[in-house]
Amino acid sequence: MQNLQQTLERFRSRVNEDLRVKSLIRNWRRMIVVKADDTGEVFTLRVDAGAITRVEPGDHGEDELILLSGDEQLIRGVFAGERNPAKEYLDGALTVLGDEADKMKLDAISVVLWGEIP
Amino acid sequence: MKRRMLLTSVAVGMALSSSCYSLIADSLTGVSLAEWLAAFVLAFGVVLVVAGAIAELASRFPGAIGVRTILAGTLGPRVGLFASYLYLLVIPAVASVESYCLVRLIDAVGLGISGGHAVALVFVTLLAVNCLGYALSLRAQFVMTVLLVVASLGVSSGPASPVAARAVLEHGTRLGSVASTSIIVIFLFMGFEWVTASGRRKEEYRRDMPLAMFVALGVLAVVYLAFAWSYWLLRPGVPASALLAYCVGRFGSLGRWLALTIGSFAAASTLNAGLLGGARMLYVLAREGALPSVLSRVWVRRGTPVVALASLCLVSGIAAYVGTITGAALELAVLAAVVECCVYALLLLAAFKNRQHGAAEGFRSRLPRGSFAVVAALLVAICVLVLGDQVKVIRGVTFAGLLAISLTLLKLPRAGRIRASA
Repeated sequence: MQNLQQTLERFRSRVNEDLRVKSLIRNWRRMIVVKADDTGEVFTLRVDAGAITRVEPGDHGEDELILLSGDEQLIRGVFAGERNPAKEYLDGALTVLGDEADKMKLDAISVVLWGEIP
Repeated sequence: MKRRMLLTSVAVGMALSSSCYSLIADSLTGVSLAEWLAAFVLAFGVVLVVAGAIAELASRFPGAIGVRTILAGTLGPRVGLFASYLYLLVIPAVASVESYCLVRLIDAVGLGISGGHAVALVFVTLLAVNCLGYALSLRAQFVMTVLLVVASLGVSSGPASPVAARAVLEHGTRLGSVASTSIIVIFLFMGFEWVTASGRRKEEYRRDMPLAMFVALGVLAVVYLAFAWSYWLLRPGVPASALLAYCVGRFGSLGRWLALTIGSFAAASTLNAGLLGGARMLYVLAREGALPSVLSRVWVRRGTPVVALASLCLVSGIAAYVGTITGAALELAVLAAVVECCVYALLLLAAFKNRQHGAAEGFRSRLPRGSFAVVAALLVAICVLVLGDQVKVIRGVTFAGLLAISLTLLKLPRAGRIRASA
Protein backbone atom coordinates (compact mmCIF):
# COMPACT_ATOMS: atom_id res chain seq x y z
CA MET A 1 0.00 0.00 0.00
CA GLN A 2 1.24 3.48 -0.90
CA ASN A 3 1.90 6.01 1.81
CA LEU A 4 0.52 9.55 1.61
CA GLN A 5 3.58 11.04 -0.06
CA GLN A 6 3.62 8.32 -2.72
CA THR A 7 -0.09 8.87 -3.38
CA LEU A 8 0.46 12.62 -3.78
CA GLU A 9 3.44 12.06 -6.10
CA ARG A 10 1.36 9.71 -8.20
CA PHE A 11 -1.42 12.32 -8.28
CA ARG A 12 1.13 14.91 -9.42
CA SER A 13 2.26 12.69 -12.30
CA ARG A 14 -1.30 12.03 -13.36
CA VAL A 15 -2.23 15.72 -13.31
CA ASN A 16 0.89 16.73 -15.22
CA GLU A 17 0.27 14.11 -17.91
CA ASP A 18 -3.39 15.00 -18.48
CA LEU A 19 -3.81 17.73 -21.11
CA ARG A 20 -7.33 18.60 -20.02
CA VAL A 21 -6.26 19.11 -16.41
CA LYS A 22 -3.25 21.13 -17.58
CA SER A 23 -5.67 23.38 -19.47
CA LEU A 24 -7.87 23.64 -16.38
CA ILE A 25 -5.04 24.81 -14.13
CA ARG A 26 -3.22 26.82 -16.82
CA ASN A 27 -3.28 30.18 -15.04
CA TRP A 28 -3.70 28.82 -11.56
CA ARG A 29 -0.98 29.47 -9.02
CA ARG A 30 -1.72 27.99 -5.63
CA MET A 31 -0.25 26.13 -2.65
CA ILE A 32 -2.36 23.13 -1.71
CA VAL A 33 -1.61 22.10 1.87
CA VAL A 34 -2.67 18.53 2.67
CA LYS A 35 -2.92 17.55 6.34
CA ALA A 36 -3.59 14.10 7.74
CA ASP A 37 -5.34 14.78 11.05
CA ASP A 38 -4.75 11.33 12.53
CA THR A 39 -1.05 10.89 11.66
CA GLY A 40 -0.05 14.56 11.67
CA GLU A 41 1.60 14.30 8.24
CA VAL A 42 1.60 17.53 6.22
CA PHE A 43 2.53 18.07 2.57
CA THR A 44 2.37 21.07 0.25
CA LEU A 45 1.61 20.77 -3.46
CA ARG A 46 2.85 23.73 -5.49
CA VAL A 47 0.67 24.45 -8.52
CA ASP A 48 2.15 26.76 -11.12
CA ALA A 49 2.11 27.22 -14.91
CA GLY A 50 -0.37 24.43 -15.59
CA ALA A 51 1.33 21.76 -13.51
CA ILE A 52 1.96 20.55 -9.99
CA THR A 53 5.61 21.45 -9.77
CA ARG A 54 6.51 19.98 -6.39
CA VAL A 55 5.20 17.87 -3.53
CA GLU A 56 7.14 18.75 -0.41
CA PRO A 57 6.77 17.83 3.25
CA GLY A 58 5.53 20.53 5.62
CA ASP A 59 3.10 23.45 5.47
CA HIS A 60 4.42 26.03 3.01
CA GLY A 61 1.10 27.72 2.34
CA GLU A 62 1.00 31.48 2.49
CA ASP A 63 -1.43 33.80 0.69
CA GLU A 64 -2.65 31.69 -2.24
CA LEU A 65 -3.58 28.77 -0.06
CA ILE A 66 -5.99 25.86 -0.21
CA LEU A 67 -6.04 23.58 2.79
CA LEU A 68 -7.30 19.99 2.76
CA SER A 69 -7.47 17.90 5.88
CA GLY A 70 -8.97 14.63 7.05
CA ASP A 71 -7.92 11.14 8.04
CA GLU A 72 -4.89 9.83 6.14
CA GLN A 73 -6.78 6.90 4.62
CA LEU A 74 -9.51 9.21 3.38
CA ILE A 75 -7.02 11.67 1.85
CA ARG A 76 -5.19 8.85 0.13
CA GLY A 77 -8.53 7.61 -1.25
CA VAL A 78 -9.42 11.07 -2.55
CA PHE A 79 -6.05 11.66 -4.26
CA ALA A 80 -6.08 8.14 -5.71
CA GLY A 81 -9.53 8.64 -7.25
CA GLU A 82 -11.12 5.97 -5.10
CA ARG A 83 -13.37 8.26 -3.07
CA ASN A 84 -15.70 11.06 -4.13
CA PRO A 85 -14.20 14.30 -2.73
CA ALA A 86 -17.47 16.24 -3.09
CA LYS A 87 -19.33 13.66 -1.03
CA GLU A 88 -16.61 13.46 1.62
CA TYR A 89 -16.59 17.28 1.78
CA LEU A 90 -20.38 17.44 2.16
CA ASP A 91 -20.25 14.78 4.87
CA GLY A 92 -17.71 16.84 6.80
CA ALA A 93 -15.13 14.05 6.67
CA LEU A 94 -12.89 16.10 4.38
CA THR A 95 -12.23 19.72 5.31
CA VAL A 96 -11.44 22.05 2.43
CA LEU A 97 -10.58 25.68 3.16
CA GLY A 98 -9.97 28.35 0.54
CA ASP A 99 -11.77 30.50 -2.02
CA GLU A 100 -14.98 29.04 -3.44
CA ALA A 101 -13.58 29.15 -6.99
CA ASP A 102 -10.48 27.24 -5.85
CA LYS A 103 -12.56 24.54 -4.15
CA MET A 104 -14.57 24.23 -7.35
CA LYS A 105 -11.44 23.91 -9.46
CA LEU A 106 -9.99 21.27 -7.17
CA ASP A 107 -13.15 19.18 -7.50
CA ALA A 108 -13.16 19.75 -11.26
CA ILE A 109 -9.66 18.21 -11.41
CA SER A 110 -11.07 15.11 -9.76
CA VAL A 111 -13.99 14.98 -12.22
CA VAL A 112 -11.66 15.32 -15.23
CA LEU A 113 -9.23 12.68 -13.95
CA TRP A 114 -11.65 10.07 -12.69
CA GLY A 115 -15.17 11.07 -13.75
CA GLU A 116 -18.11 10.33 -11.48
CA ILE A 117 -17.04 8.36 -8.42
CA PRO A 118 -19.97 6.67 -6.64
CA MET B 1 -6.50 42.36 11.74
CA LYS B 2 -6.36 42.66 7.96
CA ARG B 3 -7.87 39.23 7.51
CA ARG B 4 -10.63 39.99 10.02
CA MET B 5 -11.53 43.13 8.07
CA LEU B 6 -11.70 41.16 4.83
CA LEU B 7 -13.96 38.56 6.40
CA THR B 8 -16.13 41.29 7.92
CA SER B 9 -16.53 42.93 4.53
CA VAL B 10 -17.57 39.60 3.00
CA ALA B 11 -20.28 39.16 5.67
CA VAL B 12 -21.51 42.75 5.24
CA GLY B 13 -21.45 42.52 1.45
CA MET B 14 -23.47 39.31 1.46
CA ALA B 15 -26.27 40.91 3.50
CA LEU B 16 -26.36 44.47 2.18
CA SER B 17 -28.67 44.52 -0.84
CA SER B 18 -30.51 47.12 -2.89
CA SER B 19 -33.86 45.92 -1.56
CA CYS B 20 -32.81 46.76 2.02
CA TYR B 21 -33.76 50.40 1.60
CA SER B 22 -37.21 49.64 0.19
CA LEU B 23 -37.85 47.06 2.87
CA ILE B 24 -36.84 49.44 5.66
CA ALA B 25 -39.12 52.11 4.20
CA ASP B 26 -41.90 49.60 3.78
CA SER B 27 -41.56 48.22 7.30
CA LEU B 28 -41.69 51.75 8.73
CA THR B 29 -45.23 52.17 7.45
CA GLY B 30 -48.20 51.30 9.59
CA VAL B 31 -46.17 51.04 12.80
CA SER B 32 -45.00 53.64 15.27
CA LEU B 33 -41.30 54.33 15.56
CA ALA B 34 -41.30 52.69 19.00
CA GLU B 35 -42.90 49.55 17.57
CA TRP B 36 -40.42 49.50 14.71
CA LEU B 37 -37.47 49.90 17.09
CA ALA B 38 -38.85 47.14 19.33
CA ALA B 39 -39.14 44.87 16.30
CA PHE B 40 -35.61 45.81 15.22
CA VAL B 41 -34.15 45.08 18.66
CA LEU B 42 -36.02 41.75 18.81
CA ALA B 43 -34.87 40.72 15.34
CA PHE B 44 -31.30 41.90 15.92
CA GLY B 45 -31.15 39.94 19.18
CA VAL B 46 -32.38 36.83 17.35
CA VAL B 47 -29.80 37.30 14.60
CA LEU B 48 -27.00 37.72 17.18
CA VAL B 49 -27.93 34.42 18.85
CA VAL B 50 -28.16 32.75 15.42
CA ALA B 51 -24.69 34.14 14.62
CA GLY B 52 -23.36 32.70 17.90
CA ALA B 53 -24.85 29.29 17.04
CA ILE B 54 -23.48 29.38 13.48
CA ALA B 55 -20.03 30.44 14.72
CA GLU B 56 -19.92 27.46 17.09
CA LEU B 57 -21.08 25.05 14.42
CA ALA B 58 -18.73 26.51 11.79
CA SER B 59 -15.76 26.00 14.10
CA ARG B 60 -16.70 22.32 14.28
CA PHE B 61 -17.28 22.04 10.51
CA PRO B 62 -14.84 24.62 9.07
CA GLY B 63 -15.22 25.49 5.41
CA ALA B 64 -18.30 23.30 5.01
CA ILE B 65 -21.24 24.11 2.79
CA GLY B 66 -23.33 25.41 5.68
CA VAL B 67 -26.64 23.77 6.27
CA ARG B 68 -26.00 20.52 4.40
CA THR B 69 -22.93 19.46 6.33
CA ILE B 70 -23.70 21.05 9.68
CA LEU B 71 -27.26 19.74 9.93
CA ALA B 72 -26.32 16.29 8.58
CA GLY B 73 -23.55 16.05 11.17
CA THR B 74 -25.74 17.10 14.08
CA LEU B 75 -29.42 16.42 13.34
CA GLY B 76 -29.04 13.68 10.72
CA PRO B 77 -28.59 13.41 6.95
CA ARG B 78 -32.25 13.76 6.06
CA VAL B 79 -32.57 17.05 7.94
CA GLY B 80 -29.42 18.29 6.22
CA LEU B 81 -30.79 17.40 2.81
CA PHE B 82 -34.22 18.90 3.55
CA ALA B 83 -32.69 22.17 4.74
CA SER B 84 -30.43 22.32 1.66
CA TYR B 85 -33.44 22.09 -0.64
CA LEU B 86 -35.24 24.76 1.40
CA TYR B 87 -32.16 26.98 1.25
CA LEU B 88 -31.97 26.63 -2.52
CA LEU B 89 -35.56 27.81 -2.82
CA VAL B 90 -34.66 31.05 -1.04
CA ILE B 91 -32.23 32.08 -3.80
CA PRO B 92 -34.80 32.68 -6.58
CA ALA B 93 -37.03 34.51 -4.08
CA VAL B 94 -34.19 36.84 -3.09
CA ALA B 95 -33.26 37.30 -6.76
CA SER B 96 -36.85 38.30 -7.43
CA VAL B 97 -36.87 40.88 -4.62
CA GLU B 98 -33.56 42.37 -5.72
CA SER B 99 -34.59 42.49 -9.38
CA TYR B 100 -37.92 44.11 -8.54
CA CYS B 101 -36.21 46.91 -6.60
CA LEU B 102 -33.56 47.38 -9.28
CA VAL B 103 -36.17 47.52 -12.06
CA ARG B 104 -38.14 50.16 -10.18
CA LEU B 105 -34.97 52.12 -9.54
CA ILE B 106 -33.81 52.05 -13.17
CA ASP B 107 -37.27 52.89 -14.49
CA ALA B 108 -37.57 55.81 -12.08
CA VAL B 109 -34.12 57.18 -12.90
CA GLY B 110 -35.00 57.15 -16.60
CA LEU B 111 -31.89 55.79 -18.31
CA GLY B 112 -33.62 55.36 -21.64
CA ILE B 113 -33.84 51.56 -21.34
CA SER B 114 -36.52 49.62 -19.51
CA GLY B 115 -35.68 48.29 -16.07
CA GLY B 116 -36.68 44.80 -17.17
CA HIS B 117 -34.14 44.80 -20.00
CA ALA B 118 -31.46 46.21 -17.70
CA VAL B 119 -32.03 43.45 -15.13
CA ALA B 120 -31.99 40.80 -17.88
CA LEU B 121 -28.64 42.24 -18.94
CA VAL B 122 -27.40 42.02 -15.33
CA PHE B 123 -28.39 38.33 -15.19
CA VAL B 124 -26.70 37.52 -18.50
CA THR B 125 -23.55 39.41 -17.46
CA LEU B 126 -23.37 37.65 -14.09
CA LEU B 127 -23.89 34.27 -15.77
CA ALA B 128 -21.12 34.97 -18.29
CA VAL B 129 -18.70 36.27 -15.63
CA ASN B 130 -19.30 33.26 -13.37
CA CYS B 131 -19.12 30.74 -16.21
CA LEU B 132 -15.80 32.21 -17.28
CA GLY B 133 -14.61 31.81 -13.71
CA TYR B 134 -13.87 35.45 -13.05
CA ALA B 135 -14.30 36.46 -9.44
CA LEU B 136 -13.62 39.57 -7.47
CA SER B 137 -10.72 39.18 -5.11
CA LEU B 138 -11.41 39.57 -1.41
CA ARG B 139 -9.62 42.92 -1.52
CA ALA B 140 -11.85 44.21 -4.34
CA GLN B 141 -14.91 42.99 -2.43
CA PHE B 142 -13.62 44.81 0.63
CA VAL B 143 -13.27 48.10 -1.28
CA MET B 144 -16.75 47.73 -2.81
CA THR B 145 -18.35 46.97 0.54
CA VAL B 146 -16.64 49.89 2.27
CA LEU B 147 -17.81 52.25 -0.51
CA LEU B 148 -21.33 50.86 -0.20
CA VAL B 149 -21.42 51.31 3.58
CA VAL B 150 -19.95 54.83 3.37
CA ALA B 151 -22.40 55.82 0.61
CA SER B 152 -25.33 54.38 2.59
CA LEU B 153 -24.32 56.25 5.72
CA GLY B 154 -23.63 59.36 3.63
CA VAL B 155 -27.11 59.55 2.15
CA SER B 156 -28.52 59.15 5.65
CA SER B 157 -26.76 62.27 6.90
CA GLY B 158 -27.26 64.88 4.17
CA PRO B 159 -29.67 67.83 4.29
CA ALA B 160 -33.28 66.78 3.76
CA SER B 161 -35.72 68.11 1.19
CA PRO B 162 -39.05 66.40 1.92
CA VAL B 163 -40.87 68.17 -0.93
CA ALA B 164 -38.52 66.79 -3.60
CA ALA B 165 -38.71 63.35 -2.04
CA ARG B 166 -42.50 63.28 -2.11
CA ALA B 167 -42.42 64.13 -5.81
CA VAL B 168 -41.13 60.66 -6.73
CA LEU B 169 -43.22 58.62 -4.34
CA GLU B 170 -45.46 55.73 -5.08
CA HIS B 171 -47.33 53.54 -2.67
CA GLY B 172 -46.20 49.99 -1.98
CA THR B 173 -47.23 47.08 0.19
CA ARG B 174 -47.93 47.52 3.91
CA LEU B 175 -46.48 44.85 6.10
CA GLY B 176 -47.94 46.03 9.35
CA SER B 177 -47.43 44.18 12.56
CA VAL B 178 -44.36 43.89 14.75
CA ALA B 179 -43.93 40.23 13.80
CA SER B 180 -43.92 41.15 10.13
CA THR B 181 -41.50 43.98 10.85
CA SER B 182 -39.24 41.61 12.78
CA ILE B 183 -39.15 39.11 9.96
CA ILE B 184 -38.32 41.86 7.47
CA VAL B 185 -35.48 43.00 9.73
CA ILE B 186 -34.22 39.40 9.85
CA PHE B 187 -34.35 39.42 6.03
CA LEU B 188 -32.10 42.51 6.07
CA PHE B 189 -29.37 40.52 7.83
CA MET B 190 -29.78 37.33 5.80
CA GLY B 191 -26.64 36.16 4.05
CA PHE B 192 -24.05 37.18 6.67
CA GLU B 193 -23.52 33.48 7.48
CA TRP B 194 -22.14 32.75 4.00
CA VAL B 195 -18.82 34.13 5.22
CA THR B 196 -18.24 30.83 7.03
CA ALA B 197 -17.22 29.27 3.70
CA SER B 198 -14.39 31.82 3.27
CA GLY B 199 -11.98 30.65 5.97
CA ARG B 200 -8.39 29.80 5.05
CA ARG B 201 -7.21 28.15 8.26
CA LYS B 202 -9.00 26.15 10.92
CA GLU B 203 -7.67 28.57 13.54
CA GLU B 204 -9.67 31.39 11.92
CA TYR B 205 -12.88 29.71 13.01
CA ARG B 206 -11.92 29.95 16.67
CA ARG B 207 -11.72 33.75 16.82
CA ASP B 208 -11.52 35.69 13.54
CA MET B 209 -14.63 34.23 11.92
CA PRO B 210 -16.99 34.74 14.91
CA LEU B 211 -15.58 38.23 15.45
CA ALA B 212 -16.04 39.10 11.75
CA MET B 213 -19.66 37.95 11.88
CA PHE B 214 -20.50 39.96 15.00
CA VAL B 215 -18.71 43.10 13.73
CA ALA B 216 -20.51 42.73 10.37
CA LEU B 217 -23.86 42.51 12.14
CA GLY B 218 -22.95 45.65 14.11
CA VAL B 219 -22.01 47.54 10.92
CA LEU B 220 -25.21 46.43 9.21
CA ALA B 221 -27.30 47.47 12.23
CA VAL B 222 -25.73 50.95 12.17
CA VAL B 223 -26.36 51.33 8.41
CA TYR B 224 -29.98 50.18 8.70
CA LEU B 225 -30.74 52.24 11.81
CA ALA B 226 -29.17 55.36 10.27
CA PHE B 227 -31.25 54.97 7.11
CA ALA B 228 -34.42 54.12 9.05
CA TRP B 229 -34.02 57.06 11.44
CA SER B 230 -33.29 59.52 8.67
CA TYR B 231 -36.10 58.13 6.54
CA TRP B 232 -38.47 58.32 9.49
CA LEU B 233 -37.66 62.01 9.95
CA LEU B 234 -38.30 62.60 6.26
CA ARG B 235 -41.43 60.38 6.20
CA PRO B 236 -41.78 60.45 2.42
CA GLY B 237 -44.22 57.50 2.29
CA VAL B 238 -43.85 53.92 1.12
CA PRO B 239 -41.93 53.89 -2.14
CA ALA B 240 -40.97 50.76 -4.02
CA SER B 241 -37.76 52.61 -4.86
CA ALA B 242 -37.20 54.13 -1.44
CA LEU B 243 -33.52 54.70 -2.03
CA LEU B 244 -34.22 56.86 -5.06
CA ALA B 245 -36.93 58.85 -3.31
CA TYR B 246 -34.64 59.37 -0.41
CA CYS B 247 -31.55 60.36 -2.42
CA VAL B 248 -33.56 62.76 -4.56
CA GLY B 249 -34.94 64.24 -1.36
CA ARG B 250 -31.45 64.74 -0.05
CA PHE B 251 -29.41 65.68 -3.08
CA GLY B 252 -31.83 66.72 -5.83
CA SER B 253 -31.10 65.49 -9.37
CA LEU B 254 -27.62 64.26 -8.37
CA GLY B 255 -29.40 61.91 -5.97
CA ARG B 256 -30.77 59.90 -8.91
CA TRP B 257 -27.29 58.88 -10.00
CA LEU B 258 -26.17 58.27 -6.43
CA ALA B 259 -29.17 56.01 -5.85
CA LEU B 260 -28.54 54.18 -9.11
CA THR B 261 -24.89 53.59 -8.21
CA ILE B 262 -25.62 52.34 -4.70
CA GLY B 263 -28.61 50.25 -5.81
CA SER B 264 -26.82 48.68 -8.78
CA PHE B 265 -23.69 47.79 -6.80
CA ALA B 266 -25.73 46.32 -3.96
CA ALA B 267 -28.02 44.34 -6.28
CA ALA B 268 -25.18 43.03 -8.47
CA SER B 269 -23.22 41.99 -5.38
CA THR B 270 -26.19 40.17 -3.82
CA LEU B 271 -27.25 38.48 -7.07
CA ASN B 272 -23.67 37.44 -7.78
CA ALA B 273 -23.14 35.99 -4.30
CA GLY B 274 -26.45 34.12 -4.45
CA LEU B 275 -25.74 32.80 -7.93
CA LEU B 276 -22.21 31.67 -7.10
CA GLY B 277 -23.02 30.12 -3.72
CA GLY B 278 -26.27 28.56 -4.93
CA ALA B 279 -24.66 27.07 -8.04
CA ARG B 280 -21.92 25.56 -5.95
CA MET B 281 -24.48 24.00 -3.65
CA LEU B 282 -26.42 22.62 -6.65
CA TYR B 283 -23.16 21.25 -8.06
CA VAL B 284 -22.03 19.41 -4.92
CA LEU B 285 -25.52 18.06 -4.25
CA ALA B 286 -25.53 16.72 -7.81
CA ARG B 287 -22.05 15.25 -7.28
CA GLU B 288 -23.27 13.28 -4.26
CA GLY B 289 -26.37 12.13 -6.16
CA ALA B 290 -28.95 14.24 -4.33
CA LEU B 291 -29.81 16.18 -7.52
CA PRO B 292 -29.74 15.20 -11.22
CA SER B 293 -26.17 14.48 -12.35
CA VAL B 294 -26.45 16.90 -15.27
CA LEU B 295 -26.05 19.71 -12.71
CA SER B 296 -22.54 18.47 -11.93
CA ARG B 297 -21.25 19.13 -15.47
CA VAL B 298 -18.13 21.26 -15.48
CA TRP B 299 -16.67 23.47 -18.20
CA VAL B 300 -13.23 21.87 -18.19
CA ARG B 301 -11.26 24.83 -19.54
CA ARG B 302 -12.60 27.10 -16.80
CA GLY B 303 -13.43 24.67 -14.01
CA THR B 304 -16.87 26.19 -13.53
CA PRO B 305 -20.22 24.41 -12.96
CA VAL B 306 -21.87 25.82 -16.09
CA VAL B 307 -25.08 23.75 -16.00
CA ALA B 308 -25.73 24.53 -12.33
CA LEU B 309 -25.02 28.22 -12.96
CA ALA B 310 -27.26 28.38 -16.04
CA SER B 311 -30.09 26.48 -14.32
CA LEU B 312 -30.04 28.68 -11.24
CA CYS B 313 -29.80 31.80 -13.37
CA LEU B 314 -32.77 30.67 -15.47
CA VAL B 315 -34.95 29.86 -12.45
CA SER B 316 -33.93 33.10 -10.70
CA GLY B 317 -34.61 35.06 -13.89
CA ILE B 318 -38.10 33.57 -14.19
CA ALA B 319 -38.76 34.32 -10.51
CA ALA B 320 -37.50 37.86 -11.03
CA TYR B 321 -39.74 38.33 -14.07
CA VAL B 322 -42.83 36.98 -12.30
CA GLY B 323 -42.06 38.98 -9.16
CA THR B 324 -41.61 42.17 -11.15
CA ILE B 325 -44.71 41.95 -13.33
CA THR B 326 -46.98 40.83 -10.48
CA GLY B 327 -45.46 43.26 -7.98
CA ALA B 328 -45.31 40.37 -5.50
CA ALA B 329 -41.63 40.87 -4.77
CA LEU B 330 -42.16 42.23 -1.25
CA GLU B 331 -44.32 39.22 -0.37
CA LEU B 332 -41.48 37.09 -1.74
CA ALA B 333 -39.15 38.84 0.72
CA VAL B 334 -41.42 37.70 3.56
CA LEU B 335 -41.52 34.20 2.04
CA ALA B 336 -37.74 34.08 1.84
CA ALA B 337 -37.44 35.35 5.40
CA VAL B 338 -39.90 32.73 6.72
CA VAL B 339 -38.04 29.91 4.96
CA GLU B 340 -34.70 31.29 6.18
CA CYS B 341 -36.07 31.51 9.73
CA CYS B 342 -36.98 27.81 9.55
CA VAL B 343 -33.40 27.04 8.50
CA TYR B 344 -32.06 29.30 11.29
CA ALA B 345 -34.28 27.46 13.79
CA LEU B 346 -32.80 24.15 12.65
CA LEU B 347 -29.28 25.57 13.00
CA LEU B 348 -30.10 26.72 16.54
CA LEU B 349 -31.33 23.23 17.39
CA ALA B 350 -28.12 21.86 15.88
CA ALA B 351 -26.06 24.19 18.11
CA PHE B 352 -28.17 23.11 21.10
CA LYS B 353 -27.50 19.44 20.35
CA ASN B 354 -23.84 20.18 19.67
CA ARG B 355 -23.49 21.62 23.17
CA GLN B 356 -25.61 18.84 24.70
CA HIS B 357 -23.10 16.27 23.55
CA GLY B 358 -20.23 18.43 24.68
CA ALA B 359 -18.91 18.36 21.14
CA ALA B 360 -18.27 22.08 20.72
CA GLU B 361 -14.66 22.39 19.63
CA GLY B 362 -12.94 25.64 18.86
CA PHE B 363 -15.20 28.64 19.32
CA ARG B 364 -17.81 28.61 22.05
CA SER B 365 -20.00 31.65 22.65
CA ARG B 366 -20.96 32.81 26.12
CA LEU B 367 -24.61 32.17 25.38
CA PRO B 368 -26.24 29.54 27.59
CA ARG B 369 -27.26 26.37 25.76
CA GLY B 370 -30.94 26.98 26.55
CA SER B 371 -30.89 30.29 24.68
CA PHE B 372 -30.53 28.39 21.39
CA ALA B 373 -33.73 26.44 22.05
CA VAL B 374 -35.59 29.54 23.27
CA VAL B 375 -34.64 31.59 20.19
CA ALA B 376 -35.50 28.66 17.88
CA ALA B 377 -38.97 28.58 19.47
CA LEU B 378 -39.19 32.37 19.14
CA LEU B 379 -38.36 32.15 15.43
CA VAL B 380 -41.08 29.55 14.92
CA ALA B 381 -43.55 31.78 16.81
CA ILE B 382 -42.64 34.79 14.63
CA CYS B 383 -43.13 32.66 11.51
CA VAL B 384 -46.55 31.46 12.71
CA LEU B 385 -47.64 35.05 13.48
CA VAL B 386 -46.45 36.27 10.09
CA LEU B 387 -48.11 33.40 8.25
CA GLY B 388 -51.39 34.24 10.01
CA ASP B 389 -51.10 37.72 8.53
CA GLN B 390 -49.94 36.87 5.01
CA VAL B 391 -52.22 34.65 2.93
CA LYS B 392 -50.01 34.61 -0.19
CA VAL B 393 -46.95 33.79 1.87
CA ILE B 394 -48.71 30.77 3.41
CA ARG B 395 -49.20 29.37 -0.09
CA GLY B 396 -45.57 30.02 -0.94
CA VAL B 397 -44.22 28.46 2.26
CA THR B 398 -46.50 25.44 1.89
CA PHE B 399 -45.33 24.96 -1.69
CA ALA B 400 -41.66 25.38 -0.72
CA GLY B 401 -42.03 22.98 2.22
CA LEU B 402 -43.83 20.32 0.18
CA LEU B 403 -41.30 20.59 -2.62
CA ALA B 404 -38.39 20.23 -0.18
CA ILE B 405 -40.05 17.27 1.57
CA SER B 406 -40.80 15.59 -1.80
CA LEU B 407 -37.22 16.01 -2.97
CA THR B 408 -35.89 14.71 0.35
CA LEU B 409 -38.15 11.62 0.19
CA LEU B 410 -37.21 11.08 -3.46
CA LYS B 411 -33.53 11.04 -2.56
CA LEU B 412 -33.99 9.17 0.71
CA PRO B 413 -32.16 5.97 -0.31
CA ARG B 414 -29.06 8.00 -1.18
CA ALA B 415 -29.44 10.32 1.78
CA GLY B 416 -29.59 7.29 4.03
CA ARG B 417 -26.10 6.37 2.95
CA ILE B 418 -24.66 9.71 3.90
CA ARG B 419 -22.44 9.36 6.90
CA ALA B 420 -23.06 11.86 9.66
CA SER B 421 -19.43 12.30 10.50
CA ALA B 422 -17.57 14.20 13.18
